Amino acid sequence: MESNAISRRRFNAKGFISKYAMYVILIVLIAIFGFAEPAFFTGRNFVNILTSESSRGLLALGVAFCIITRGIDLSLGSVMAVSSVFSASLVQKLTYSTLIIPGLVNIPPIPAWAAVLFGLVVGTSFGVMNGLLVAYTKIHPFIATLGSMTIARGLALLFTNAYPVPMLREDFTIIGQGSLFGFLPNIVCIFLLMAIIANILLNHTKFGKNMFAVGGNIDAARASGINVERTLVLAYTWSSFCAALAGVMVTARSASGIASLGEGYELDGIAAATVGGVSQTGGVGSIVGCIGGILVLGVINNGLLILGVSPYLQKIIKGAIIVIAVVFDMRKVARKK
Amino acid sequence: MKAKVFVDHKQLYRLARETLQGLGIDIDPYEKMGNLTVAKMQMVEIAKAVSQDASIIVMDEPTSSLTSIEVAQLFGMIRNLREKGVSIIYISHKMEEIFKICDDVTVFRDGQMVGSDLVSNMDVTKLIHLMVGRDLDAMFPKIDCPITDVVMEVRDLASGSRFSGISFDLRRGEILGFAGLVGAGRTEVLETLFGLRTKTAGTITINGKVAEISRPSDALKHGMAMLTEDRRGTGIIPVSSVASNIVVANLKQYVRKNGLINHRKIASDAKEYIKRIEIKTPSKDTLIQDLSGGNQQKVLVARWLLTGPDILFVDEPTRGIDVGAKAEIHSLITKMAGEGKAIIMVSSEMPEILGMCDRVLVMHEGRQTGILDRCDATQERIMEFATRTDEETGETQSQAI
Repeated sequence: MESNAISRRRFNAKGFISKYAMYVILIVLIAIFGFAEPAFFTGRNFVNILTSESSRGLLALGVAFCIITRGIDLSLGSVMAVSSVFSASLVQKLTYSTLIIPGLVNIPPIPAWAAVLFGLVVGTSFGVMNGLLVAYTKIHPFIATLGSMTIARGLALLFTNAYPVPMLREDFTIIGQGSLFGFLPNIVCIFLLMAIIANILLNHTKFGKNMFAVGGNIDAARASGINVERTLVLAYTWSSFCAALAGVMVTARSASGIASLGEGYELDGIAAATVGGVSQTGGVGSIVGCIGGILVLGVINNGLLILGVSPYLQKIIKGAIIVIAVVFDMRKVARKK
Repeated sequence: MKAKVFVDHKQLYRLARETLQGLGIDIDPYEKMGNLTVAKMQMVEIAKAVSQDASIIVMDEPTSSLTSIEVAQLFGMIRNLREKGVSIIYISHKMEEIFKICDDVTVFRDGQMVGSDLVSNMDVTKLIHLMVGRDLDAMFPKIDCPITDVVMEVRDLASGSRFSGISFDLRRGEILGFAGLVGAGRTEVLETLFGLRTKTAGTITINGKVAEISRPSDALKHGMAMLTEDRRGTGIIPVSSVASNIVVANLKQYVRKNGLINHRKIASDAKEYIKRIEIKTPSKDTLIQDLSGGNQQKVLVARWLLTGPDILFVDEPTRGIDVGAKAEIHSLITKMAGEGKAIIMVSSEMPEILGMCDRVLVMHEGRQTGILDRCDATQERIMEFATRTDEETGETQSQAI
């Protein structure tokens, strides 16, 4: 998997099918939905799919790194909320009567970029903490990030008293509401850019190779002179950076900071990465697969919505597809005992 | 109480004790498995098979981590079982065991059955011939090479209560063997030298300078490499490709100036090493878990060769691999010594120690009991040091260095 970039030889039919099974599923799904409902099959609708999946997609890109190191990150949804309310709090219009930070009226306006940066820094700091906990205390990543998930959510609620943070300045909201060439929303551009960066980090840097080694066999990685702790801290930092970015972008797009933002999104991110072949057993995964996973889930969401399927039934179908996809994937790269 | 839902713990422990006693095994049934020695764990496994009234018991390399006394006990138990009418399939790489304990022998090579006969109709040469498909005149192709200056001096090394008072010099071109019973602390000494275990006392001097090694990356910087004992546990990265496994300890060398990995160089180096040390693999992109044990071991040898080490530690380098690959690993090690590398080899196989090493450091229960030169090293002398009691060790320490 990680050798995608270097393997290009010999065509193997069986290998080809199992390797690209997800894309076959994706194409079949698109065909079915397109046939059943022509409105699905429009360029506009595809942009819609991308737009609505971008934030969860960013989380998938983030959590993929953790899963490859044989970890998990449950805090991502809460990290989105933290970066949402903290960045929004700095750019509320002064005309708003109940500012989160009343002191804003007494100081010169804080530039939008500084608000973005603040949201990113606060959000990412949770990843640094997660990484340090996982690397040095050796507690299970599930527990470490479960703790920070709860802490981050609590922090966002405490900071805002559970009220929304609305009335954000236009120079901030334009970051989320703008679009490239007039049709590709900025959040989609950010997602695609981050996907490219993630792919480079994962497949073309020492950090990426080290993550595969740590996830594949942490003791062998250590014995090979890899700085396991640093690799883990970086992976969790990256993960929360992706989430913080998603939080800021969604906030700017919706022009409101929300402390309940992203609830359950971390699970969607994990599902997308897993459907995309990032294995929970560690040491296996690719960004291309991850994007495929996001698209599969996005197409299902959107297609079922357009077909008017009950949202409750949608959940059941989605859950079934996640499990089936992973069963197939497990057969592909079973770890031999 | 007699319902079939609940576990009758009293009965359970009573039966367990009876089974253990019936086999002459002295283990408290309340003891946690993790607190037992490997030998005792194995005996518990055998007791488990017996308690299920098994008529066929398969034993896969049952002696690979047992001392010779424990092996004798195991063999006694096997004979006992045989008399009770239990059939035993005994898988082993060790020739002498086959001749000692087996009635029939069947040889497999590359996934095919190549022969089957009564042991009484076999001899070692015939068996080896079947196993490797050719006569193996040199299991231990030791070539004499000049042993020159000291690269590493170790003085009074200790790690907690595991071992202490380890002192020796290591020279270029030398293979220094570490002999002793399983559990004597040999692996732990290597782990400490390599930064995998905390050093609590002593000094390590490399090329005349005191070296502080607290993690493996420090050891790598000092030109050390270590082929670990537990190939699956600390060696291979199972779901990664052969190429990735080869370069993993040496990635720094493949980072271009722009920070990106040079995949082309990785591919060509991986191919070169696959060819040079004859790793049998469909391609460099094959997952290492799909290779045989011997070939996995060769991939790990390639990993460490690639780092260009001056000092190489090899811990049980041929455990659990077939005779053919064994000879190849031996010849690789010898060749590396010939290139002026200094090598420490831990081995529990006496012929390997005697056949390969220039000197042998013997340990007993965490203490160094002596260092023997190649000409003085015999199986008897080594065993004498390896089983020596503590009060005798004092004088051998000084002459050892």
